[in-house]
Amino acid sequence: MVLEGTEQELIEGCQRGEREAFRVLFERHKDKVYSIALRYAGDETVAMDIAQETFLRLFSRISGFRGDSTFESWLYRLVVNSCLDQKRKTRRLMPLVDGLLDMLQAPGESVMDHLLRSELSSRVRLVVGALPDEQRILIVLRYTQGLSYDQIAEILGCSNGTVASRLNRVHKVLERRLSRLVGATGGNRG
Amino acid sequence: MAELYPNERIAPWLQTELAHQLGPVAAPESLWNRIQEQQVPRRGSSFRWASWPVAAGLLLMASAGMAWHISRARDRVADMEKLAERELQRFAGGPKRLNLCSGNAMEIRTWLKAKANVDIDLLAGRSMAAHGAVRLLGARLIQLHGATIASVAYRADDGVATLLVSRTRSAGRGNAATSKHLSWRIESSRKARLFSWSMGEQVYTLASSDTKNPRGACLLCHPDARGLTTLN
Repeated sequence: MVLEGTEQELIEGCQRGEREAFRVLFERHKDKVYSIALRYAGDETVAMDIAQETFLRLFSRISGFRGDSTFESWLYRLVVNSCLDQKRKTRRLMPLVDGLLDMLQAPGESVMDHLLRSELSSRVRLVVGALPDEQRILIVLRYTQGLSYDQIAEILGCSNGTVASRLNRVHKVLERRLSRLVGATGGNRG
Repeated sequence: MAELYPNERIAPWLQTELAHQLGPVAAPESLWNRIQEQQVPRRGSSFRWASWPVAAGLLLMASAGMAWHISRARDRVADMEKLAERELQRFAGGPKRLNLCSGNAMEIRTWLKAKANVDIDLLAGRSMAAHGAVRLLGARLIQLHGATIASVAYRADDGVATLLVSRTRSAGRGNAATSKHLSWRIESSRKARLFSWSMGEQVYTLASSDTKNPRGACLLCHPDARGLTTLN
């Protein structure tokens, strides 16, 4: 039965063209795919386009999936490729609404604290959004999905050492660009 | 939050912020609908396959139409050839069966132009007529399947000949290639040699009772026809 089937059964169902298998597979992975797309693009409309393209590619190519890698890695590769293929320049709007809601829901803190925290949140997204594509996708895979170096290396087709060195480099960039703001909000909160 | 590797260097506050700001989110419910909508045109590929029989049917119909058109054209030529043979027999009875009895090339040309809207360059044959190789008898008009056909009767060498000319069905639509032979056909019977061709906006059938030396009939318009070898 497809609805309760294992991932392998679902994949085989998709390969046979069973519509229900596609739907179940989509439900299982939609949040994962959309999250990566959104965190990479920083824009909901673009993220929808990326997620849509990823699933369309998945449905059209799943007949060629032979299980040489795990399905999850294969799916991540599809998302990453869709992200990197996304050429549209989009405006990344400041999440003003999110910031206002945070202010209303946290009466214990001063307005200034909220503004600073809100600005930090915005700045983190902006700074991540300003990273080169390859660095940005690395950060998204690591922090949106919490993937291991091994998984990231398999998805991006590079070695663990390369993943580690690139991540360290990106961490330094982010730290340098955000540290002043962190100092203003009260320093080290980790 | 992603578990730190032993050699992974990152400020704790940055790790917290990244995990917080870049955390997973739920996909909008509308995503599935968007994918479904996009799959419709993709299914168009199968539709395209399904449309092949229709395309094949249309192609077949077009081919049949073209074959029918060619067949009709051939029928018309065949009708012209039968008519030309009958005309030869008519002329054997004397010039009284002609609408215009005249040996004057210019007069016949003008009359045919006015009565049947066909133009036959008989002037080239005047020099041959002057030498007695061609002797014009006259012309008449015939109605065949609603079309007017001009018939020019003449004697060439030792035989009687007739040239039938009519306008093509596409004449006047501006799509006929002028000064260009569109088709060419040679037929023989016991009593005549027949040549049919299309040129410009006119269809021609030439019938000669001289089956051994039919080239003489061509002298009506082509003074150099004696040198031709392809008509025998």
